[in-house]
Amino acid sequence: METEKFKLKITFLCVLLVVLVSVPYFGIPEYALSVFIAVFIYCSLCVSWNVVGGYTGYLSFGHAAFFGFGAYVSALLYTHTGMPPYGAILLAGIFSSILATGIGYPCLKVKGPYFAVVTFATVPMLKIMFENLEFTGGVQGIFIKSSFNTPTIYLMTLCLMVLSALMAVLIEKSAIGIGFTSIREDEDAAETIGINTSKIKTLAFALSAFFPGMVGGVFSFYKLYINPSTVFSEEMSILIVLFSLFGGTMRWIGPIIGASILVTIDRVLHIYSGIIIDWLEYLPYFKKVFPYFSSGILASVLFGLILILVIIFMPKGILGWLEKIELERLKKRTSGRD
Amino acid sequence: MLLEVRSVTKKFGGLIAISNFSFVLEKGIMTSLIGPNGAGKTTLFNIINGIYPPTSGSIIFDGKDITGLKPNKIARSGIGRTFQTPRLFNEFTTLKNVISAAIYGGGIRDIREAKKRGIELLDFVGLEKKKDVLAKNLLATEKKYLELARALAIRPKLLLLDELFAGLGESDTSNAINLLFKIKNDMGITIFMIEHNIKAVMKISEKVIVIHHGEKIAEGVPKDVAQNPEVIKAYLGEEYA
Ligand SMILES: Nc1ncnc2c1ncn2[C@@H]1O[C@H](COP(=O)(O)OP(=O)(O)OP(=O)(O)O)[C@@H](O)[C@H]1O
Ligand SMILES: [Mg+2]
Repeated sequence: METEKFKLKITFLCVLLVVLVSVPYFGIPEYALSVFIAVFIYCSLCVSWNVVGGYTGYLSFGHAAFFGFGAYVSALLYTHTGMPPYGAILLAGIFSSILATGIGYPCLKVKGPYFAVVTFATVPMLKIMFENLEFTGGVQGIFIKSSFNTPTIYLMTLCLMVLSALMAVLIEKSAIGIGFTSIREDEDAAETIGINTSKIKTLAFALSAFFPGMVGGVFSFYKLYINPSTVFSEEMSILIVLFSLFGGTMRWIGPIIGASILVTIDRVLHIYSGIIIDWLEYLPYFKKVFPYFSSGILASVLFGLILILVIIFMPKGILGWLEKIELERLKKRTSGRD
Repeated sequence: MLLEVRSVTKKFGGLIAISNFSFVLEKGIMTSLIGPNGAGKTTLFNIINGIYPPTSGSIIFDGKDITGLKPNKIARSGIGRTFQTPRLFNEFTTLKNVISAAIYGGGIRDIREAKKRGIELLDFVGLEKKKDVLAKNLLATEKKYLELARALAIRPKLLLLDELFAGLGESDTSNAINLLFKIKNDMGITIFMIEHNIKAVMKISEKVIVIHHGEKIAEGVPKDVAQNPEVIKAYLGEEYA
């Protein structure tokens, strides 16, 4: 029965993958593809973030740093050394992991809110650094002369999402995953059974930065122009955490569910913002109270609300909620049998 | 000689929790550490297994100086422990708790092998039927057994047990005592335990060390220690001496 379920799951995922791969060939409009790309990007970021944030329980509030850093690495390698794009993107991932090792080793010595704060600081730190560097173009940033079309970018980000999810699955099934999660459960106890926690936490952090670096690398070829304030975004750091917590951090699928739902909502809000705002303006006094209302504000308000509701009602995210339902169903069935 | 603690002192700010403490543990000799509440027993364990580095003094284990090493190194060099209040991986199943220790501390890299070892150990402590239950859902006494199994999974030479019998009923206590004898005789593991249950201490230990206010006040075979006036004074208070 277990294997039946497993086969079903694999089949479903394969079919889904085939459908996703063929989407760009259906002549779908560009803006729809861009929604998919945003979903893939955030799925990739969140499922990677979860390696450290979910498995080891160290909530990194600075994962946008690796995205931004990767964007710069690939843009610089491509424009300055003439390296082919795929090589530049791969190196963006590798350099990003190296940066994470450097950041992670000292930061992972502190826990909880302290860790959240020090990691949060990495994004503004890198932003300021890149604003002041000569060869990265300072605040002006870099133009990337390349011509990947949107369907290609779509396939690249889809590929990164699949690979990062695969990495998460492999981690969950391996001894390394047991090491990571034991840290979340009880770090001191993990040490007393022989787990070198500082080494293994740093490893988790480095792995969690790899795909964000590559995603940033693709982003440069997608937008063809990057500057410090667009790629080093504190908001992105927070959204990564929010999406993952919303989906649930216990397993790889959680962050994917969370990011897929919330990014789609965000994009749809943007697309239909005109209509929604027209409706809202029928409300008495709406225009007086919110004279500068926009779709961005609408999404922020909504995300803030979701965050509050999730923390109160679904502390383990959608995954935890589904699990609870499943558990209650099983209980009912077994009690019905007696 | 398996473990030698050489004039170890531990200060927490102004508080001297352990003061110039020395003793040795011989291989295979079941030794107990007793003392009133707050005497410094758990602190001494925390120093031996590396959770706290000592303020001064040194610790020699199996011929090697382990002073100041991280707990994970000390664990892998062969010292296992349990905690006064169990510190399990609550969201793991019972089996996975033991597997994690078998992999990391026990050096079994293959997950299937680690699983086999885990089941053996759960069988040993009598928890094989609970292997798929989440650790948080175990009964209090089962948690104690699981911690014991997890500590054994690292293949220790020395096992530090912090109040293993606390909260166990009559039958569980005698069951646990049997396990300890098996651990000692069949697995060849030396046991050093903190114990409040004096009856159990007298019954199974070959040597007793008494700590009071962070100092060693007596050491010897159980019946000598029980008659030591310093010890009686420490346990019953000044006026009874
Ligand atoms: N991390 C710490 N920081 C400050 N003081 C501590 C710390 N750990 C222990 N102490 C103090 O050291 C002393 C010894 O505590 P310890 O826990 O070792 O006692 P114990 O003998 O195990 O007592 P019990 O029988 O109650 O378990 C106590 O006064 C305690 O408050
Ligand atoms: Mg104690």
